Amino acid sequence: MSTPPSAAAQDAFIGVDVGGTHTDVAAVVGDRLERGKALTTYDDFSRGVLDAVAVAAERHGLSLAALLARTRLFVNGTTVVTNALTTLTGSRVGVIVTAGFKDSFRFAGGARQAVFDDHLQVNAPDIFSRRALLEVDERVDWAGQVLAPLDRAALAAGVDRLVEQEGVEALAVCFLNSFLNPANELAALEVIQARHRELFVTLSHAVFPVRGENRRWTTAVLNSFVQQGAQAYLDALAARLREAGLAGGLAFFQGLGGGISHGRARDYPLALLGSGPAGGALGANALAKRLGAKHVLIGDMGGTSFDTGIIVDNRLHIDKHVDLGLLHTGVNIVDVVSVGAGGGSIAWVGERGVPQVGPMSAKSTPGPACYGRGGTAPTVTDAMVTLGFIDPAGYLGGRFPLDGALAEHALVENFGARFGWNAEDAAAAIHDLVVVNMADAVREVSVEKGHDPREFLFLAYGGTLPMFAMQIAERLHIDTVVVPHMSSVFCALGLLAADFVLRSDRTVAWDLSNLAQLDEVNALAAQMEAETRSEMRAEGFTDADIEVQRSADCRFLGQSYELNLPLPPRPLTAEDAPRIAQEFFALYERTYGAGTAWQGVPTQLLTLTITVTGRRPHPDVRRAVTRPTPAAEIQTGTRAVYLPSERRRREIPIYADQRFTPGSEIEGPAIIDANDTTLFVPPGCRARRDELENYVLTRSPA
Amino acid sequence: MNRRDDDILGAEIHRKALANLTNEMAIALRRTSGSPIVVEAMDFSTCLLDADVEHLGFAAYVLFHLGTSLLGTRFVAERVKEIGEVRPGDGWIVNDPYDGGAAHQGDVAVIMPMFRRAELLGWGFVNMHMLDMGGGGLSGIAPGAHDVYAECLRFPAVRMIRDGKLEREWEQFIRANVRAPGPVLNDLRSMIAANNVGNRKLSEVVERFGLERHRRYAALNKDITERVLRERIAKLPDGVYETVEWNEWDGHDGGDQLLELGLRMEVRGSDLKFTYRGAPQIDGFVNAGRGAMWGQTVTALLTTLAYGDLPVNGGLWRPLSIELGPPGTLVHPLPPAPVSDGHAEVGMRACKMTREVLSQALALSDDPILRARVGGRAHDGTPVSALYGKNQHGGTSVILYLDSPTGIGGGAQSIQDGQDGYGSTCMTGCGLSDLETHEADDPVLFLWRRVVANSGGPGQFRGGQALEQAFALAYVDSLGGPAWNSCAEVPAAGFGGGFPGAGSSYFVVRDPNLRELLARGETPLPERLRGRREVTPNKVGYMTLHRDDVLVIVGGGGGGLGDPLLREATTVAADVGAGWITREHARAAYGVVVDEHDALDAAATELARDALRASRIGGVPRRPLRAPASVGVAVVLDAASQRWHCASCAEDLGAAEDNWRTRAVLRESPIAERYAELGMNVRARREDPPVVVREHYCPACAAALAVDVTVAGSAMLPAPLLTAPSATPRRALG
Repeated sequence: MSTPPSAAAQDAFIGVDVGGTHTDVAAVVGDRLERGKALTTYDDFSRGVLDAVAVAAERHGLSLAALLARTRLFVNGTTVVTNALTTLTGSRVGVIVTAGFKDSFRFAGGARQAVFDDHLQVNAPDIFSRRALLEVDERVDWAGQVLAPLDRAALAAGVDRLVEQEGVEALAVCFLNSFLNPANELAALEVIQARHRELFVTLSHAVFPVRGENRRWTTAVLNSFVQQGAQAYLDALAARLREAGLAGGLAFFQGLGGGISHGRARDYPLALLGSGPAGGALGANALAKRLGAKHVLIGDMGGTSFDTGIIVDNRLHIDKHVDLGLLHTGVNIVDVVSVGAGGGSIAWVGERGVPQVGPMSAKSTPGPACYGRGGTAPTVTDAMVTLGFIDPAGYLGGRFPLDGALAEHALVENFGARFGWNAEDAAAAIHDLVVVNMADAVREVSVEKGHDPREFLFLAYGGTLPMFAMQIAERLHIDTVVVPHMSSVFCALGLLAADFVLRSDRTVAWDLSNLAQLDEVNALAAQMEAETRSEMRAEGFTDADIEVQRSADCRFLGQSYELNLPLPPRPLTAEDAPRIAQEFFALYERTYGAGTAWQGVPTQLLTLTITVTGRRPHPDVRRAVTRPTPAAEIQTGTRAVYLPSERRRREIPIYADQRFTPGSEIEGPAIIDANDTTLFVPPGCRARRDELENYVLTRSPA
Repeated sequence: MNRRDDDILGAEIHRKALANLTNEMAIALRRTSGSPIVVEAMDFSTCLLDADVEHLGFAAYVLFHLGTSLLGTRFVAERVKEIGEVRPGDGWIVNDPYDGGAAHQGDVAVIMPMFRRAELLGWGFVNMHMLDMGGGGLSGIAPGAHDVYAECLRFPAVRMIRDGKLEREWEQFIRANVRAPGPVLNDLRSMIAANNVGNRKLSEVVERFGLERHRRYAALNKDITERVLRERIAKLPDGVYETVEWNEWDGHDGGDQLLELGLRMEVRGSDLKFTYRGAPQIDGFVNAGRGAMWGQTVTALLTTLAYGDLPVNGGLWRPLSIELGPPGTLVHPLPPAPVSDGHAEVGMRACKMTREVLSQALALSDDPILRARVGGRAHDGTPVSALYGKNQHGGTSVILYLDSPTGIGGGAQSIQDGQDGYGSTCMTGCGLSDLETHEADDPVLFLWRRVVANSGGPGQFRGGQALEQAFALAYVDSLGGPAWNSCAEVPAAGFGGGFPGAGSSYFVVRDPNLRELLARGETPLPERLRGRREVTPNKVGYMTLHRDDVLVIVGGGGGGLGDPLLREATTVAADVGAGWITREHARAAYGVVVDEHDALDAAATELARDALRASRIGGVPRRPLRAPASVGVAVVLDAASQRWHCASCAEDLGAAEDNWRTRAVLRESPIAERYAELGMNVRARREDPPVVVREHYCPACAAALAVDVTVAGSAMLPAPLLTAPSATPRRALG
């Protein structure tokens, strides 16, 4: 593990992203990167994974076994947990809760949505049967004292009933204030294990030892809910990879943006939630560092949605305590906002008689009208074919020709006719609306967090976005757009940048002016660090590879939002307390504006966070030698393309990706046709290819 | 592209830009205030109005701010006309329910002009609920006050802001008069900051679109919203729709009064006219100022009719008119009447009446989409206590848990049961706090948090259910403060044969056996807790809790929709299994028999349902009970014959100009007795007249046609009176 990354020249690293439609592979051997793609196989995910890896192996000129044999690390990102929660399919969970509080799950922290329409006001979904809900006598108070011990006999009888009569397959134990004192939850585990050793049990304090029973309990229940499905996936994949000859390590990618071991993923499968988008974000950050960019907005446009997120100072923004619809959890994942704007998004006319695009999507069946599979609703893809951005004959390298006539027909008949528009007018309107929708989403992730998008670089990946990226950037006054190399397997590539990460959060609720609590806080921090470190050591990391960060969520007493600030990596002293309070005050004013901090109110350090990173060797992809090709030699021809900024169609140059050597540069308006990606360079902009083979789009100086 | 339809696309992009603008104002407010009322309870709004004082954008979680922002800004604009000048950086503070800029004094608005260079583009309105506004109430709400002067500070549009800054003298004035001057002043500054952000963004929008196009697009979007709303209203039959409600008042150690309120809605073409009437104003905080009345009326309208593709802007107001009748009443009070809870007392009754008359009209629409918008009334009440005093940490606790007002049920809908923990209709996006947070901050030990069994009004779709919670004052000797509750005796009615929901209440258990139970290792559940149960009036100026006393607050449910006998028996059995309703309630309200293992007894259910139907009309029904074509539409009007019919069996119920209720079988009973049979909560009245439930059944098939909640001896509730279609020329649309 302490070997320098590039020492073993032919070592391989493999990142696999199991997505909804495709399983993508990025495989690096030595300093050479190849990709692989296969259809995701829902009956047995491991088959699709091995298919895709085999494609990459072949491109490397290796057999599957030979590639796996030299693989040092295999990182897998999977939607298996995200899917289970999206479709609410999981295990039959039994829930054990402090007597008096079983209906907390029904209210779920409040289900009322911030929308007008009463038909949209529904209850939170039931994720377990009410009959599998057991109240037991036990109580811990606000100070962590046991007011009533666990009624072991009643629990034993109750659990037998849940197992025998309700057929529960997993349990969640949810006691009040267990984050302060887990004695009763631990006692419950003892009782359960003595009777039903095989049963999977989640203790709420173990998965989310933080104040707030609604999120902690929901997290525990969901963890048990997804465990069976996740375990089946994890075990099958691990077994098949070993059979196929995988010699090196296997890691699973968390939504938090780092790997964890197979064992940890089995115990805490909920950590795998959101791992796909997190892979893209992590890759984007790794790329941003190589480009020397600190502030980055990211965008990924697929068939149904546009995902966007923010990176500040090369730190991914973590969405603490993510909400899954009406279910509030304590899961921390990389913050990626998704809006319904993709290639398949449908254009329609609402009751107001106003043109709209999305969030409904034609998905892959029937797909956009131009697919010729019976779709009649006009989509973004149809618009882009009509406007000339997409070459219907060259779509997906010519393997999937599109029907431009069908696109035009759908645009007029089912959308534009209402306004007296021809196909081009309708397509231009769709283009403008989808750009506005995506720009609004990017604006939201930056402005919501107090940032001005103008200070950011826009990193655009996925097959469709590079057609729109520069125009989104212009709306937000962003100067530079980067379209990464191998944009379409970018998420899988991101997995290769993953380290192992474990995070531990604990509520301490320390009024910083009360030094009497200092020792207790230090003891807790030491304990959290020791536990997480020892888990890392068990994974084979030496202390030299382990990096520990401490941080804290602070607030003014009486507020309900906190801000996170870093703490020194050592026990805190009496001098630290006022310093933390001062730093918090300054951070608050920096975040919310001068004069906004609360004067004369104590600062509370609410939650302590320890993040332990186990450094993994990463593959290093070589930089190409810059060898500019004159624009005329890159150009393959011209195409009549509708230029939105000029509101007219013009014959513009088409450039070929294969001829676009690093160091080459062209001026817009132009289209760059890559195999599975189309880049549009608007008038007044330039595109250059850098030595990492990314396209860098900038506005030409006026 | 032809010009007009290029405008449509441009106007839509412009609309999104203005929606971003009000959202960014809200972000600025949340980020700079930090007040839990803003970031957690979401009790604020940020609005943009144009120079004609019409809304261009509205971002709010509390819906009645749509009304108060309009009235408050109009008031300021009129003052500006009088004084003849307005400068950039000027700002007015408004919280006067009388002038309409607030629904209650605790909601304070900062209204500032928006300029681009010397051009007045419009107005920003930013409003938030303050921690305190001084005076006799906490957070501005004063159940003990006899007049408006005793409630709290009142600002009828006072220009306190010059050059973007709160003037020093006013700052000192506020500092000297409120309990939490730091946060209150900070909140005022935050509202100025949010207005500034709005002004800057508006300048950018005007820069981008050009002033002429900005105005054209804004006008177009208002016209479009107006047109869509008018199209919906035009699908309601012309006519007059009426209802009544009763406001409860037992404060000031006086009698237990029920105060009559009425609403008449007239549909004429695509116009809606609401005319309220009310009993004379009283010396308690229930009187609703103009802001509360307008705000709560539009609240019911938004939740019922602003579905789908209908952005909110000034166009929404154009088809509406709201008349409050002669002054001096509960719905049109004059000073010195106190008004600090008017939004939650008479105001919430106004919201429920608006919901009712809309349902009456929607039920008679030819359009199935509109018919599907009928619904039961939401509970709409505020069972809450405000306690303050020292806590276990040596600091001060102010306990104003909004969990109970949030934990009340919503009205049943035609596609689903009412939402549990819906909160009041006006409180979209409200959340329920974690009790672990309460226990960490305050000297309380929570004993239970449960769904109140049988709280949702019975119906084909059930009303939303309510929360009951109890805490003991476990860690200090005493705390005290006011308590109030607006919907205990006259619960929320259902619609179309649906039954009313349960009422809400609170009580104290004195000297409980809390410590003995805990010493035995038993958690103090309701079935174990013993002690002296003390029931106070609904509105209490001051109440003291002593060590270990337990405060129990029981929420009320939403009204049901449609005849409960039409609810699937298996669904009723599942409700029993889940513990939402009791076995006895399933039998009494739904005629469904569930055995001790919670299994449905189908044969016994058939007999029980037959027996219930026979008891409804005093004999065996002549026709079978069938589900009406539209859920919750129990009575239909036949267009050809102009006669009312039962929607279940087509029984003739009289001529269109008569009240079909006179043809139905009436069963009237005091609500306390009826709810005892049904196992539902309602607060029994201390004096006459009693509240009664009037159940109207079809004489032929025994279908429940309407279940009215009113006061004994009062007139029969009216049926819609439609205008002959030829009598009213339809107003041209759009």
